[in-house]
Amino acid sequence: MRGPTAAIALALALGATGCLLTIVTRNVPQLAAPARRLPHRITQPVRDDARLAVLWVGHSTLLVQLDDKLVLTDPVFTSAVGQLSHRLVEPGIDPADLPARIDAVLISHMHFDHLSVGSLAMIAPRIARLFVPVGGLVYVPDDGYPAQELAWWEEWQDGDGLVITAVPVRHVGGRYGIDRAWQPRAFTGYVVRYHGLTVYFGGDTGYDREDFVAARERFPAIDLALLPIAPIEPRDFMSRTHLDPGEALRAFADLGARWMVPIHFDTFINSYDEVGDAPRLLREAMRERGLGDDRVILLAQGEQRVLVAR
Amino acid sequence: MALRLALASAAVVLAGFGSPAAADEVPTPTLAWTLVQLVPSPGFTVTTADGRAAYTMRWQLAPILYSFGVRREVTPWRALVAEPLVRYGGSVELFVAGEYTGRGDAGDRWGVRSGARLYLPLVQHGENAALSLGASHVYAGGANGMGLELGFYVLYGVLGVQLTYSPPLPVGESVTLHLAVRYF
Repeated sequence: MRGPTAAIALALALGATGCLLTIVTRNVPQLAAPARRLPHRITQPVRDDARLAVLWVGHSTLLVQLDDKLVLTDPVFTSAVGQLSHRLVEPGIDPADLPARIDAVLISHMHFDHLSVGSLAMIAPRIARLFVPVGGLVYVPDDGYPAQELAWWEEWQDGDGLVITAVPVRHVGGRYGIDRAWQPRAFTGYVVRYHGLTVYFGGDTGYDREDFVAARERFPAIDLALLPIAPIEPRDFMSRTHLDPGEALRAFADLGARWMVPIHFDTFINSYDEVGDAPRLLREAMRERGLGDDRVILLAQGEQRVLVAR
Repeated sequence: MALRLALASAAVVLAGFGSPAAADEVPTPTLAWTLVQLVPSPGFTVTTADGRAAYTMRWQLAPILYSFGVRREVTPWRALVAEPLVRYGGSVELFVAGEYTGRGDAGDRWGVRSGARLYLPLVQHGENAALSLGASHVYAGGANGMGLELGFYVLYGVLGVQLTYSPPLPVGESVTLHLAVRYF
């Protein structure tokens, strides 16, 4: 490694380390603070009146109903992730109130706030099948449910019309840091199709127009896009792997989706952002783009919305 | 035997530089992993006969590990590099460690320990808490000895404590407590 290259690499490493230390430090006061209680949590999440409904549990955890099929994304119900980052808000549903059968659990990547082994243990008997990106299966404990890896653009069908396709996004693999070298493709988005309904789950991604346009070309009638809008700051550190609210709206346009539900904010401290920053900036970006609440649906934790009624 | 294991390990380490495994293969050593292994686990040891205490440092490698905590679809074998969930989710490893003890003549301060260790998960498949039981042979200062070990780990195994009891035969009885520092 030549001198300038080594110096740049060292500077980047020190910068990243400093950033991570700051984020860890910001979590310290939360260690002793209880998660904010939600006043009215839904106890019956399956809606007879819905063809397409979405419940935001918090962070990247959503329960999506497509007719009689239920899909759960990146389930996190534990009080902390990675032992050091505690929840700011309790989960939007008690895992005991989840339906007895969840047809598919989608894991976007292996980071602690997306793959929670403690949460999977809580809901294990309900999981019909779990999906992870390539290389991720090593971090999924054997709790008695089938699990499999899906490569980008690989498809799985349940024989009943439910089709799940892994789609490329821009993020990083690994779980503990240096293991990203051994898991270069262990991150993904998913497209779920059933009975003519199409849902895009972005997981955790930076902005890459090619990825979103490619998804649109393959799936030209996306009904609902579940897109992260944070962490935002420090932008130099986050931008390569995380959408900010403005970029999320660009991705929404690239995907050509009918509705967007923003996710991945105000649940854990994983950046320099303050609670409320991401939705505030999202509303500003919506105004600039002329998008209203009828297209971009900003849910509260625990809130459910029926998008297509029976 | 320990020297042979150490040389074999070194060969694998060097072979792995700059060529991380494909996603669906078992991990092999990288430069970052190798540098991290240079961080020692500090500790102190007390000889029970005379109460003499000394600081120690330990560097360890696990040439072979078998995990019984992974899914059937995942290969349970690891060489040198083992992911925290693979190790602390339940496994048996053969390990070799270089040890430095801060007392005695210069030539007597270094030793080599080799043994076997069983890891058992306690909380969240061992990621939040795990324990270990181990037995080892140690060669230091021209004498052979043995050790029985109990360990407890948190934070995905990055931090832990290992208590090693060395019975009075064939060398003096001692108790050693290490702060176990391990990252993969």
